Amino acid sequence: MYKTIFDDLFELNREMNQVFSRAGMGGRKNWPETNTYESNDEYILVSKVPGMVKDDIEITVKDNSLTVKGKRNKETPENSKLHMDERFSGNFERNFLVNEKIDIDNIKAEASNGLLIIRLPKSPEMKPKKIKIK
Amino acid sequence: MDIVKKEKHDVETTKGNIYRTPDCDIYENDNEYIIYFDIPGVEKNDISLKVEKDVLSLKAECTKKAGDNYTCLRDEMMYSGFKRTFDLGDSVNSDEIRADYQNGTLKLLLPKRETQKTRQISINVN
Repeated sequence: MYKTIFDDLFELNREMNQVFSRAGMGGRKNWPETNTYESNDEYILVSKVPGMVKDDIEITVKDNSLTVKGKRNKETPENSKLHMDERFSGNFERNFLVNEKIDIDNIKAEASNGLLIIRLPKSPEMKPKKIKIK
Repeated sequence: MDIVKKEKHDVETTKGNIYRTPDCDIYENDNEYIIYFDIPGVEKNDISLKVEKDVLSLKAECTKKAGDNYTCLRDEMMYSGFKRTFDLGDSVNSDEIRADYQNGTLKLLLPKRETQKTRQISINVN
């Protein structure tokens, strides 16, 4: 395959789009920032939820749609004035759709050091089956 | 946890050493300044805090990355380290800075120097 100047331009365009569509660039709509991964038998969502405890986050699943919502209450020191306010606070809700049916009963979520990891195993129905020829 | 596994840095390399500016909140009360940093994904031992000539610098390394056998469908965030510096001036007693790290949020308590503290002056009325 030939590499032309347009390939570089397309690549640049792709990177620029990625930069501007990244969470945090367009306001706070995409909080928390989440990466979605897929392997042969599961989907994984990794979110950055710094300073939150598990009771603040609510995860609900219906069919192949997963909703993460909650409220982030920032700890505010008493009798103090605020000089800088950059950290997110308030309600958030994000919805994730996956392409395949998931095994709702075996979804696992864990949080450590501000990262929330949700594992969605693919439903056994979705796995390829071998058919014997008589 | 194989999706976010720990990356080994046996060889010194510049690859993957990306630093972002962490979001932070600053509060002040009569006796101290309180700074909160959001540094998700960083482990406690990877945080380094320094005060050098009244400049406070935070550097946190993120040693995590996605597992190899996973395809990324949507990429919104990086497993990046964090770096931020603040000039404290001569307002903070740097020997008594305390830090507390919990669930990806670092809280710093910076006590003010005696000369900078708010003093209440009572007025005597004859």
